[in-house]
Amino acid sequence: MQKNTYSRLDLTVYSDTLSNGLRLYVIPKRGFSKKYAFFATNYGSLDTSFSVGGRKIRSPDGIAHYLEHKMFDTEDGHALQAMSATGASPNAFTSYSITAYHFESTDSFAENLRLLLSFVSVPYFTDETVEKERGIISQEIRMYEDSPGSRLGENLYRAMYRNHPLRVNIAGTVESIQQIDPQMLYACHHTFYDPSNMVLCIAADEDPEAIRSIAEEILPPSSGQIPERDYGDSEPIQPDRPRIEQYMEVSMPMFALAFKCPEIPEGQERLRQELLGDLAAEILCGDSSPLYQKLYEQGLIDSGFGVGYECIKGMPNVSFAGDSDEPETVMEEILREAERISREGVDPSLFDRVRRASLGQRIRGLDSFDGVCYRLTGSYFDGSDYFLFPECYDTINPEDIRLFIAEHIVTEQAVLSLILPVQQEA
Amino acid sequence: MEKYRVELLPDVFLTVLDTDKFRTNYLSLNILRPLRREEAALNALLPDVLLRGCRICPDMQEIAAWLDQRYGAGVQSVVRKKGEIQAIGFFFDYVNERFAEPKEDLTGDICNLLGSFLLEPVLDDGVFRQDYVDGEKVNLCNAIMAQINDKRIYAAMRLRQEMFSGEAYGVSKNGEKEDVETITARSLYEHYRYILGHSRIELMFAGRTDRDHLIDCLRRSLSALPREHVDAVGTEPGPMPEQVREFQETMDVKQGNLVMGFRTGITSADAAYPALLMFNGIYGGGITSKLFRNVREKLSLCYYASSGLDRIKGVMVVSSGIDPENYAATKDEILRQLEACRAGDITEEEITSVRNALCTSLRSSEDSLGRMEDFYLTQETGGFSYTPEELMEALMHVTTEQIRQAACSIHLDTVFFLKGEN
Repeated sequence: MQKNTYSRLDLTVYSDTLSNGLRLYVIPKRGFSKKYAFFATNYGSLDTSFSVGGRKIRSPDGIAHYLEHKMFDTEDGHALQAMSATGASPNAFTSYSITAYHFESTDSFAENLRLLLSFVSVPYFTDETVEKERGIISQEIRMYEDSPGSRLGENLYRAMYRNHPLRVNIAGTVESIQQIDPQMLYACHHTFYDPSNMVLCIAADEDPEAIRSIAEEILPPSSGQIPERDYGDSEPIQPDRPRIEQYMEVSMPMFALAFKCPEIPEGQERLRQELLGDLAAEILCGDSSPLYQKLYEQGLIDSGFGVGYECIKGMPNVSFAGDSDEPETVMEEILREAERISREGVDPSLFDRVRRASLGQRIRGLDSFDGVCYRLTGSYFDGSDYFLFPECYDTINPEDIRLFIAEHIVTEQAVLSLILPVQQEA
Repeated sequence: MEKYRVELLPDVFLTVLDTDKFRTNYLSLNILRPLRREEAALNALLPDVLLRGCRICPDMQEIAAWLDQRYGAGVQSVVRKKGEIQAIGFFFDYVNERFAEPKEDLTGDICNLLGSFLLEPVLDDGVFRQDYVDGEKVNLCNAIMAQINDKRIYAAMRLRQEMFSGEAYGVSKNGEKEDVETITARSLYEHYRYILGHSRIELMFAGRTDRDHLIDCLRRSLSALPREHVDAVGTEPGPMPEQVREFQETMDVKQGNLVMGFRTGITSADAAYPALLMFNGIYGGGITSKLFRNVREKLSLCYYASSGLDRIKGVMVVSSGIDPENYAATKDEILRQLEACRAGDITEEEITSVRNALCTSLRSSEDSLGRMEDFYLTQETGGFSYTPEELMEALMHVTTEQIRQAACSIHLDTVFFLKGEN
């Protein structure tokens, strides 16, 4: 296996690509009892329309998530139960772009790894088990429907995108999941759970070669078929609508203000844009910025306010979110500050310390087992190397930030998503 | 990991959890107060006001710049409820010194800032600044009101309010909105001066640094701390219920939230505690539990149905998100599974799975700084005396009969249902 050492992070990573196309990473965690395995496919809620071998397929919204729930069923019973019996904590999640299965354990790591690789690669569905899951997932969807935080984010994407499937909620709707049957689940599994479309990432004090042997022994060969994904017509830079609101049982208005940014092709540039977008958001209104201090002192935002950059399958946005009685005022202030920075440039001392702080925070983030595996997997699917972030920070200067803000933090690219208290509904 | 404990000043303790596995260091300061309505809101407000400015960094801008300069170190206020103790203070996390320049003394700097936040707040006319107090009062009131936003948390909170209405445990860790509103800059300052002298203080460090240097720096930065007799803190288990209370609320929601509170009569200080832990795991503690397998997997009634313990108070709470139509069916099934445990209907597989899961969790408790800090703070505040190793050993010897007895010792006290408006 290839050994990479990242000296600025005190980090070593072993990696390899197996003959079936599986990408494998092992991060040694000396001195830890906990061992963590993360097995992910490049298949998320976005991938409902695709073609294989020239045949076009349109599957129901929420099918990737439904499939994730049903993967734990095996011919002999239930993989969750089998792994839990050894004391491991297995779980899984579906995002817009990936489906991941993971566990942590202290003992019986190899045994659990075998179980994980095996149940994820061998599907077993019956009419009865697929039917039974509908009630469970319906209640999960209802839970999200009652969660203001989930609604705020889902509505934001619905307003931001005109064509892209980011418009659709990850779990689908209670209605859309009604049509899902075992045949559809088998077809999606066959198409997207191919080893060549997957990553296995291990953070544990274990021998990398032994892990590779287990993966080689258990996983099937690749079918060699590569699906073509269809995310709809190309996405304009203008959002579908500038504003979206919903009334719910909340104590005060919640807002998410986001700026749509143009698509970024695969490669290291995705990482650079992430660091750039993140720094721009921090400099504009992060908790070190003059604007944050002003808004906080005026009571327009509180310590729950946060800024960030997110890029899903190359579709990025910069966001500012929190609770406020006057979200429109916060939005105006952010746009005014963006205009000022575009005109006057970025304060070099603010830039230096925000960059230093971001670097320190990303280094600390490497202590998280799941965080590291999630990062590594995402950056592999993006075609970048996340662990080169210290070097990447070195390439960014204040003028890059000014340009980023001047180009993207503008009214034409803004979406304001609001959750308002039902008491205020006219 | 090596644990070391020292009394820095009278009733001021430092616990060092020394480990070199992490890229991060944690340092927290916790003032221990009895949880009671009269002071809960004052206590909850205080750390946020102190974090607005001190001699070293007089305003938020200065604080942010100071922290950025130390590689994005973080500081936040913490208000924790440990049984009937309200633990309030600050929590710092910063990058391990091996990622800093050799001449930088991050630990020394952090200790200085911690001391300054605690003892040298920015004052105006001899009391806290009015604008800082007013701003943080609004934020705290908003946080209290925002508990309604997450319906699962809201339902659990309403259950606790009703179930423990006559006990200290029923007091919310953030206090009540009406109480926050009556606080003035002067009343908060007077309370602050009182609790500085009259409270036990627990400092927790987790990570790697020069221990003697840490102790020196903390002693120096806290040297002006007044010390008098300290107010006692502790938790009463409370009475067993005479009858079950049920109540409901209606809200504009799609999913119903069912919460059931039980008194166990067993706390972490009791010999039966390991058996109670095993019972909770078998009944509703995870994927292998009876609630998960029956209420969710077998009957498809919900996405989640689980039980959780507060080991300091000896309380178990079951919660489940359901279609309101299935209220009676879900409640009946939850109670039927409890009856199964009481009848000794417990398999070897269930016992082994739960024991393994608990041991995995205990073994890895030292693999996360956050969990480690909280575990040992609970130990120091709750009189909980097991180390992770001792608790694992005790779990090995728990018998089916002891688990059955633990199941029999618990009593349903209060049931709350948050339902939708059709």
